[in-house]
Amino acid sequence: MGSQTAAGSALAISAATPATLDATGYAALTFTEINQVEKLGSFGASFAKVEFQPLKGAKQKYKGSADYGALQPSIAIDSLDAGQTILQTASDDETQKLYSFRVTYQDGAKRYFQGRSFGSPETADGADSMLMATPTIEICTKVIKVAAA
Amino acid sequence: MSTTPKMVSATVTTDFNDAGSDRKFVAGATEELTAGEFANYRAAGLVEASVEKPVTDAPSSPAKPKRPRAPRTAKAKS
Repeated sequence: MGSQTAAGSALAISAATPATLDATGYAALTFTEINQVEKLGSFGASFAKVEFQPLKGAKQKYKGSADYGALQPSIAIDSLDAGQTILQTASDDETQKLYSFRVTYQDGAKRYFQGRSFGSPETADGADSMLMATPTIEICTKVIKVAAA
Repeated sequence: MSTTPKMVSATVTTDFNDAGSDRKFVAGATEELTAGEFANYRAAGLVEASVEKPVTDAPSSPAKPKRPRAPRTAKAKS
């Protein structure tokens, strides 16, 4: 599939970590879907910019350290949802434990990575709005992209 | 080649739903879960491993204590 909308995309979490940091390793895990996700937001690696201005010539630019980014989904709180409960556990976890995540797009393409949730603040806005949670999942490994089958 | 996933017997500790599988779980129920499902749910405190009753040869009710024997008395000769 070429272009597609975000509709039908899903976020899932696993308390386990893969034996290998590749598609096969992640595919062997069991993921629990996180329900009631409104938006996933943007995620992916970016690199620090290292610049050098020589006395002669144009400014040189180099790629520095990679930052795999963060996922900041907005989620309507559902206290009965297993996936949200696991994500809340990850947010409350005071250890450095990594959790595995899987994003699935409408066409079946997948994105796998490991990360730590650095908190999940809740928002109670106006009367005509849902109680929302906006966790920040800092991505700590390379995002593994798997094309749709 | 297909392999049958290892199943784990788990006791549900609180009501919850799994959106991915559309399964609903009720507190107190015993469910058969794959090892991966069990690991995820247990990490979140949603289930715990079912405690299997130990199998023993002992009877269910304790044996009756023996009644003390009365001392033998000599029979009276007629």
